[in-house]
Amino acid sequence: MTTATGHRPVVESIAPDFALPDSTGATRTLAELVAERPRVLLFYRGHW
Amino acid sequence: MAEYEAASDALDAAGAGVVGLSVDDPGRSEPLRRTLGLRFPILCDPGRSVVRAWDLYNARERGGIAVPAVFVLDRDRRVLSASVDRTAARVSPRATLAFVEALARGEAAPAALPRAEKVSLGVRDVYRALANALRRGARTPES
Repeated sequence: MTTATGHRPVVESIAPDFALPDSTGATRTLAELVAERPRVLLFYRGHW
Repeated sequence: MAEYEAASDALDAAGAGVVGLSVDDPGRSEPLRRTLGLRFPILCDPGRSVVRAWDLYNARERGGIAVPAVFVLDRDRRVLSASVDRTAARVSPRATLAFVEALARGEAAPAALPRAEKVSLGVRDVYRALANALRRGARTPES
């Protein structure tokens, strides 16, 4: 189902940082988001 | 997404914020965010770079989309919980909330969140945490 092109972060590991635009176009980094407070990160399927 | 929005106040009270991520570009994500009234940020990975790097890329569907997954991360990006689902089914906001509330109380965390269709070791801890949360109510973490 998936293409093994990376590494799935496992419990107790440090998730790799990334920078992506949010829906308003502003660049956000994972490091900045979690520094504010712990985060529930949801990967979702998106628009049909 | 909408169900996590409904749980976001309780997650806030337990000290955790929500962030969504899909392969949709901002032009698609922002209308979705507004339609659903989401107060948490939605990240856009149209280049599939993050979903590939995290091995959450499903190339078979709709031009390549993210596999549904829920991670709970602390302030240092340490993974406290990881749940990757094979279908559109996702670990419920209720279970995620119970997990976060258990963490806020300083309880030992189960290794994984339960899926609706799969019961595994550690689920009992989450349900116990949920029962405790229902009995005692959500508590804000010490600051």
